[in-house]
Parts: sequence; C-alpha cells; structure tokens
Amino acid sequence: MKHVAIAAITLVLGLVLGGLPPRAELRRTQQELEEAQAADCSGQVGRDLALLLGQGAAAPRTPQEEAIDRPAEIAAEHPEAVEVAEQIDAEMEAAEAEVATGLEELAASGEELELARTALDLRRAQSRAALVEDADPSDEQLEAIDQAWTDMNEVLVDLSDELVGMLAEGQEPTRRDAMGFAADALDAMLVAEQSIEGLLDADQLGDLEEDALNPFNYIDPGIIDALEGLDGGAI
Amino acid sequence: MRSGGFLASTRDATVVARWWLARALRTRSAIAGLTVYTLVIAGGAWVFTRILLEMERAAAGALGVPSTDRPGAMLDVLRERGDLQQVLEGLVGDPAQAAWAMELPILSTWSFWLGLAIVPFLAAAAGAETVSPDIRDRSLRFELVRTGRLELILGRTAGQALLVGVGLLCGLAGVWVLAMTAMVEQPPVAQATTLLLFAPRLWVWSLPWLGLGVACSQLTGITNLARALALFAVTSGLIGFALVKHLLAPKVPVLADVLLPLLPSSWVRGLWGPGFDWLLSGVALLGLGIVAALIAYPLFRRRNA
Repeated sequence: MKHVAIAAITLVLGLVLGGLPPRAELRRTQQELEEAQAADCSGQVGRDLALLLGQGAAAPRTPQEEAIDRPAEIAAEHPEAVEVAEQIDAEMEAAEAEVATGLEELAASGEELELARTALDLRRAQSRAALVEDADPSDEQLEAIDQAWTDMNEVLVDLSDELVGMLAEGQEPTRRDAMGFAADALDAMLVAEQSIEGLLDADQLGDLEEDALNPFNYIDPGIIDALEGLDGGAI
Repeated sequence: MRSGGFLASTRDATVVARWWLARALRTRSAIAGLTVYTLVIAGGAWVFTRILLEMERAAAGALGVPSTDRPGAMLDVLRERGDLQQVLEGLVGDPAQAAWAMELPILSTWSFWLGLAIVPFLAAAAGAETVSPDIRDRSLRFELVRTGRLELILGRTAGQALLVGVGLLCGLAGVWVLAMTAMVEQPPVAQATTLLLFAPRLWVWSLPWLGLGVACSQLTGITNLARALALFAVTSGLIGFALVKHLLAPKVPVLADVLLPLLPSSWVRGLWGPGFDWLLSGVALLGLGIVAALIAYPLFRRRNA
C-alpha cells in the first residue's frame, strides 16, 4: 500500500507544481486582457499610419482641412454658414433622439410580447397539469383533450391572421366584421370546451376545479406571433 | 496475512475493506448510514419541491389558473424557454455549464448542487468513525496483529468510501422516487440517467472529505471528538477556499496557486459539464482523498494501540 500512498502524494504534488506555470500564464493573459480592455481605444497611431500610407507623408492639405484649424476666423467671415451648420446640427440631434426613442420602444415592446408569451405558456402548462391531476384522464382521453385545444388554437390563429391581413391591406374592419371575428373566436372556444366535457365522465368533471376547462387558459402563444403583425406596421 | 510485497499489501487492504463492509452490515451501521444519506439527499429534494409548489401556487393565483398539489409544470416551461439560465448560472458558476444543466431535469440538477454542499459533512462524519471507536476499546490491536497500519487505514477508507457510494446511490434513488411521485410530468428515464450521471461525481467529491474524517479518526479514541474535528476541518476547508480565492489570490497569486489545488473546492467546478471531462477533477479528488486520509498517519503509526 506504500505504492498507493506514494502515487497519491506524487499526484497531488504534480497537480500543485505542474499547475504552477499554466496558472501563472493564465493569470498573465487575463491581466493583459484586462489591461487591453481598460485601455483608451482612441489611439492615434493606427489612424496616423493609415493616413500616411493613404496620402503619403508630405501630401498637401486641402483648404477644407486648413479651415478646420481656424473655426473662429471662418465663423467671422461667413456668419450665414454658421447658421446653416447650427441648423443641421440641431436637426441631426433631433433625428438621433428620435431613432434612440424608437429603438427603446421597440425593445420594450419586444420584451412585453415575450412576457405575454411566457404568461400564456405558463397558464397553459399549469391548467393542463391541474386538469391531469384532478381528472386523471386515460392516455386516449388526454390525447383527445390536447387535440381539442389544438383545434381551437388553430381557429384562433387563423382568425388573427385574417384580421392582421385585413389591416395590412388598409381595410378598417366594420362593426359587423369585428362582431363576426369575436363570434367565430368564441364559437371555437365553446366547441373545444364542450368536446372536452363530452370526453370526461361525470366523476372526472366533478373532480375538476372551476376554471380547469376555461378555454382562455389554453390559448397558444402562437396567437401573439400572429398579432405581432399589428405592432410591426400592419396598421 | 502480513508480508512486504505490493500484491500482498494490496490484498491485505482489500480484505480489510471487505471486512469493514461486512462489519457495517453485521452491526447495522450500514443501514443507519444509508438511511441518513437517503433522508438527507431526498429530504433536500423534498424541501425543494415544497418551495416550488408554494411558488407555483402563488404564480397560478396571479395568472388566474387552477393550482396543483404537485409542482413542476411551470418550472419546466421556464426551463424550456431558457428563463432559468440565470438561476442555473448562479448554481453552477459558469454560463457554458449552466447551458448544459438547462437540458437536464431541474430536480436532478438541484440534488447534485445540494449534494455538493452536504456530502462533505456527511462523508467527513462517516470518516471520523472509521478508526476512532477501535482505538478507544483497543480492539484495533487484534487487527494489527494480522495486517499493517497503512493497509488498515487505506483498507478501511476504501470500505467506508464504498459505503458512502452506496449511500449516495440510495439518496439519489430517493430523489428519483420523489420526482416521480411529488412532481408532475417528470421524464422517468431522463431523470434516472441524469441522477446516475451525477452519482459518481458526487462520490469522487466525497473522497477528500472522507479522507479528512479518517485523518481525524486516527488522532483520538473519542469518536465524538473525532467527528467534531472532522466537521471543523470541513468547514475550515470550505471557508479556507473562499479566503484563498478571494482574499489571498489578488495579493499573493503565487501562494494561492500553490494552495488552491490542495483544496477540494478548487476542483468542484470541473465536476459539472457533459461527457467525461469531470474525470480529470475526479482523479485529482481521489488523490487528495488518499493524501487527506494519510495526513495523520505519521502520528497513528507511532500510536500505542
């Protein structure tokens, strides 16, 4: 057993001593990386070198380049140019602010939609788990129940696509159209709920919680993808 | 049985290990040990499911959907959507390995993480009982007539390590039963294979701490003192790692480079991740386990048994 003890001690010593150089190198590399990340990126060497290569060291400066070095003199000589330049600057700032606000709103809208998708997914998973726990359906019953909700969601997604398509074409849905959409959606939900009630026996239905078969709990997040077209410029 | 060759010495240690297992079974200490492992590991998983259940009930109330008596439905949705990535990064400590853990059943991942925290104490407490009681009642001398002290220590350590391994398997089996009965929609095969994947990793993680317990056991004939010393050593090892890593390493990096490989916690991150990469950390932990068990051997070797 001495051999085992010696082997173990050698292994540990090897881990300590053999690991020293790689660990030191890793530390050095990490330090260099941190220094490189912290360094000022506005170094002029590269740009100067590029200019030198592109134009040659003794390339003559253009009148525009020389003017940049004496802004006060130029402003005094051409006050109307200063006015135009200030106007351009103001417009540029306004445009930049508008773009930034738009990007922020877009990001916030994306986050909200993602949250809505998560909420729908959670509602669906939890409701299904509660239904399975309370009613204890057989495999065939569960398959039929899932199919009923799938059919309902297909109808809802189709209706959403139709609505979004109508808006994208510039058609404003009339009151009658809106009522038709609502009636079709409610009809799909009622059909799904009734078919599931028909699949379960009285005992199973009695064991269910009140909202266990609420069709709104089983709406697929895919409907949000369809309705997303409304937010993306369909209107 | 006592002879000088490597094979004879190894055979002696094997006989001691086998005898240690037989004794644990005969005295029912094995059953007690396995029960403790099962209760602690499966109990930790049960606590997790209860916390999860309350969180899911609160979420179900907020979303206006029916609640369940068993949790898991919402958690699986969040895991599949990638919303648990940050939580797992916190547990694992590495974004790449957290992505791997995201693919696994959450209860298995939780049990492994909890095991990494609890097993050092369990293993050290078990190790503390390896030699100490026999020093106290002086029954050790009868065994030492037949074999050497080194063979005795390493044989008993191996026997105890096997018992710890069986204990871990029992604990993880308890987690599987819990996942199948106390949670909803858990994949039985994926859950079992993941737990089996984690079992050998937890076992190698237990070895250095078991070794520390065995070392403490050689120091005294008072088992409770040995146990207290072992638990103190484990706590010191865990705190020492944090101190070396966060306080010493920035100031004296070379010293930290020497100390960190000697601390088992340095190898724990390597136990996460797919494939067999964890074996590298496993070999290091095995080596540390043997060395830890022999830390007190120079004193034990001269001890009057």
